[in-house]
Amino acid sequence: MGSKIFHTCHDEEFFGRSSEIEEIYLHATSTLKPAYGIYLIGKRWIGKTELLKRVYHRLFGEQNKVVPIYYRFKSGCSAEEFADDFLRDFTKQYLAFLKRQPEIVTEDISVNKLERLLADGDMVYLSQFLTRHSISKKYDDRFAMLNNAVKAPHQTALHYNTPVFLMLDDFDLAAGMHLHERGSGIVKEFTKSLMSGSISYLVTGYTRKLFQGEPSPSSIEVMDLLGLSIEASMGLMQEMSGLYHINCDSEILAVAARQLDGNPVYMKSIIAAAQRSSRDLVTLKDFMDLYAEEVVDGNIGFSLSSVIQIKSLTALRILHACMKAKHGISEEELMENVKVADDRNEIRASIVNLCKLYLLEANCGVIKWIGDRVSEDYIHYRYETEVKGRSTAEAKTSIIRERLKQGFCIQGIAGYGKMEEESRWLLKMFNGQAVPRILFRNHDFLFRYNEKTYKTEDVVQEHGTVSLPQIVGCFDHEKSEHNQREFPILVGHGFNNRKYDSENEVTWIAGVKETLAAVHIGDVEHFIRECSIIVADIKATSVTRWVISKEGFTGEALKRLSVEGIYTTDAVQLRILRNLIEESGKRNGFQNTRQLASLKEFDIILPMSTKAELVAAKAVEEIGTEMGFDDYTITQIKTALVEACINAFEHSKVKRSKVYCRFIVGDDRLVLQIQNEGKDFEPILSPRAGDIYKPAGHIKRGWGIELMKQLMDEVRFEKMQGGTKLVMVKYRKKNGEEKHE
Amino acid sequence: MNKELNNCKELGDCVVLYADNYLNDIEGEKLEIACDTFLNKGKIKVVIDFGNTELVNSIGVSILIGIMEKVREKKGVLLFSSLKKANHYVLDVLGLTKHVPVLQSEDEALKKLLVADV
Repeated sequence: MGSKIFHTCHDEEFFGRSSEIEEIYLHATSTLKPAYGIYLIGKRWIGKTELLKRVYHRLFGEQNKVVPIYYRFKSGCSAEEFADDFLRDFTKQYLAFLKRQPEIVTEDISVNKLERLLADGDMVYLSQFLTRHSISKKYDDRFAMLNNAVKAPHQTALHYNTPVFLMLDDFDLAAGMHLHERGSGIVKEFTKSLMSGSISYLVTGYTRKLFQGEPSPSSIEVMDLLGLSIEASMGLMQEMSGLYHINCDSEILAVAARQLDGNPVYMKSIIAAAQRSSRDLVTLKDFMDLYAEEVVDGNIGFSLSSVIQIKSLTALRILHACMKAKHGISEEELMENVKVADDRNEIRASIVNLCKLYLLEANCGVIKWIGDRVSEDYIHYRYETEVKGRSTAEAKTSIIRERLKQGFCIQGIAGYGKMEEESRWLLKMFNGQAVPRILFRNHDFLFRYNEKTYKTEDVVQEHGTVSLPQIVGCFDHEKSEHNQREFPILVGHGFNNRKYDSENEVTWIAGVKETLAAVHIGDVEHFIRECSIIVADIKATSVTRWVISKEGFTGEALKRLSVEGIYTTDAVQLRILRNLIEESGKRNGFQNTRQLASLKEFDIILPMSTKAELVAAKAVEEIGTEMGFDDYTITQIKTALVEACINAFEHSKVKRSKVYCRFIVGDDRLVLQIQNEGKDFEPILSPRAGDIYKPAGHIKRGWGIELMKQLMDEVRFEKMQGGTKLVMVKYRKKNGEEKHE
Repeated sequence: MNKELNNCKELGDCVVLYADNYLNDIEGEKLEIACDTFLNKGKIKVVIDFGNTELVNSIGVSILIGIMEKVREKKGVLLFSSLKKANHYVLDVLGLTKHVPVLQSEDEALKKLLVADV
C-alpha cells in the first residue's frame, strides 16, 4: 500500500530511524511481546511523530492482523473535546483498516456518515460507542464520555477478536486534561485502560517522569529516542543541501549535527535558512552565522518562542541560573541567584511552569536544566536582551563566542559601506591575518610616508606585523553618554591563534570618527572612559583599543593615545588595511570551494599494545608529507597524535579496547579524530604553556592535553556514546601567512 | 624486557646518554636507570643527546624531569643536545628548557661540560 494516510516528510529527507521502525513494527505484530506497551521518550522535535506515522503506514500496508491506531494529543483541549476527537479518529481508523479504505481516515467524514458506513459494514458494535458518546454528551456526563472513548479500543479488540496497536503521540499533554477543575487528570483513566492487557500500545513523551508510579514496571518498555547519529545527520543535511544546491563541507556538517543534537527539525531549518539567504555551509563561520540568526530571529527562534512561552523576567532568570549550574541547583540557591527573594511564591510557580515546558526538572529539591543546546542558546539570547538589556547583535555575538569556545572556528565574510560600516566590516573580517604594525600607528605612518610617495601597499610590509584575532562577533556599543553619533564605538569579540579558550579570548574596541574634524583630546578622554565601561561590563581580560579617524588626529590626541597604547589609524591606513584583508578574504574563498573536492579519509584501528601509537604516527607522517606539510609541522602533528593515542589508551575502561583513528584530508587542513571505548579523557589539567614544570611540587603528568593544544591549531573533545572523541585540526599555511605563535 | 641503555659514552667525569628514536615511558625509564648508575659512580656531568630522537611523549618528558631532579640533588650538571626543532618546542611548552640548557650538538655540550665548574 503506497498511499500515505498521514502526512510525512519526503523519503529522501528521512534518515537513520529504520531500526526503531523495525523494532516498533515487530513489537506491534508479535504475539509474544516482552511487555504490552512502549513508552517512547524523546526531546521536542526529535522525530517521534514522524516515526509513529511511518510505523502506522507500514502496519496499515504490510499486514492484516493488527489494527494500527494513531492519535496525537492536542494542547489546550478539554477532556470532552478529547473524548469526541479520539473516539471519531479511532472509529475511522479501525473501519478504514478492516475495509482497506485509507480514504475513510483522510476524508472529513461526519459522525452521521460514519455511523452509516459502520452499519453498511456490519459493524454495529463499533457504532454503539458513537451512540453512547452522543447520549453522554446530551446529558453532559463527562465521565461517561471519557470512559466510553478510552475503553473503545480495548472492548472493540475483544469483540472483533482483532488486536489493536494504539499509538498515542504527545501523551504527556493528557496530563493537562482534567474532567473537573482541580480533579484528577485523564491520564489515570487512560492508564487503567492501557494496563488492562488486551491491547498493545505505544505512548510518547518528553521525560521519564510521566509514568512514575502509574504502571507496573513489567508492563511497559521504555525506549529512548535520541537525536540522529552524526552519520545520519550528515546524510540528511547532505541530501537537503544537494536538493537546494548548497555547497557544504562534511566537517562543518558534523559540527552542525553535534550542535543541533541530531534534531531533524533544527537541521532542516538551518539548511532552509542557507537556501533562503543563498549561503553555503562550507566554513564554520557560515554555520555559526546561520545558526545564530536562526536561533535569534529565524524559524528555530520562532518555533521555540511558540512552545517556550516565558511570561516573566523571573522565569528567564531562573532558567539562566539553572543552565549555568551544570549539576542542578537547590531551591535556596536559586532564590539567592534570582535575587527577587521577597516573592518566593512567584519563583516556585515559575519553576512549576518551566517544568511543564520540559525545560527544567525538579528532583529531590534539586532543579536541573533539561532542555537541549539550541533551547539553551535561545534562552541565553532572551536573557541577554530582556534581562541584561543587551542589543540583539550583542546577544548573537555572545552565543557565537560561547559556542566557539566549545570547539568551533570561523572564517571571513564580506561587504562594507562608509567608514563606520567599513570599520565594522573590517573587524568582522579579522581572521588571524598578520598585517603591518604601522597601519595601527598613525604617528609612525605619517613620519615615514607623509613626505614620501608610497606606490603600493607592499611598501608598508617592510615593518613589523600585528597578528589580528579571529573576530567572531561585532556589535555597537550603545551606552555612550554623549558624542554617540560623531564617535560611535564598535566592540568585536574574538580569539587569538585560532584557539577557542579563555586564555586566547580578546576584545577589540574601536572608536570611529568620520566627521570633518580630527580626533582631539576630548574625543580621546571620552573613548578611554567608554572603554573602561565596556571592559567592566563584559569582564574582558585582553583588550585592544583602536581609534579610527577620517581626518586624522591632533598632536595632543596622538600623544595621549600613544601613551595609552591605543592603536591609531587614519583613512589612508584604513584603505591599505582593507585591501590587505580583502586579499586574504579572496584567498580564503578560493580555498573553501576547493576543499570540498579533495576530501579523503583514512581509518586506523590500534590495539592496546606497546608503541601502537607509532603506527598511527607513521601513517599521519605519510599523509602529512603528501599534503605538503614541512618536517617540523609533521613532527608536531605526530607528537600530538601520539599524545592523543596514549590518552585514549590510558582512559579506556575495557581491557582489550581499541583506539579508532580517522584522518580526514581537506585542501586546507588535516583533521585527526581519535576515539576510545570507555571513560572520558577530558582536559582536567591545563596549566599555562611554558609554565608547566616547576622544580618544587611539580606535576609530572596531565600535560598531554596542553601539549596537543600547543601543537595543533584546534583541539576539541566530543562526548560520544561509550567513549570520547578527540578532534584535532592542523591548517596548512597559506602563502605569506605566518602562524602566530 | 631489557631495561638497560646500550647507547652511552663516558668521557672523564662526563657521560653522554643517547636517547632512543621514540622517548616514551620504556625508553625514558632506561635513560633514568642509566643516569642513576652513572650518578652513583660519581659521574655528575650528564649530556642527554637527542640526535636520534624523532618523537617524545609527555611520559618521556616527565621521566626527563625525574632525571633532572636527580642530577640537581647530586649537584651535577645536565645538558640536552641535538634536539630537533619540534622536540625542542615540546620541551619548551612543558617548561623544561628554562631549567636545562639545550646545545646544538653533543660536541658543544661536552665542551661546555668540560669547563663547567661543579
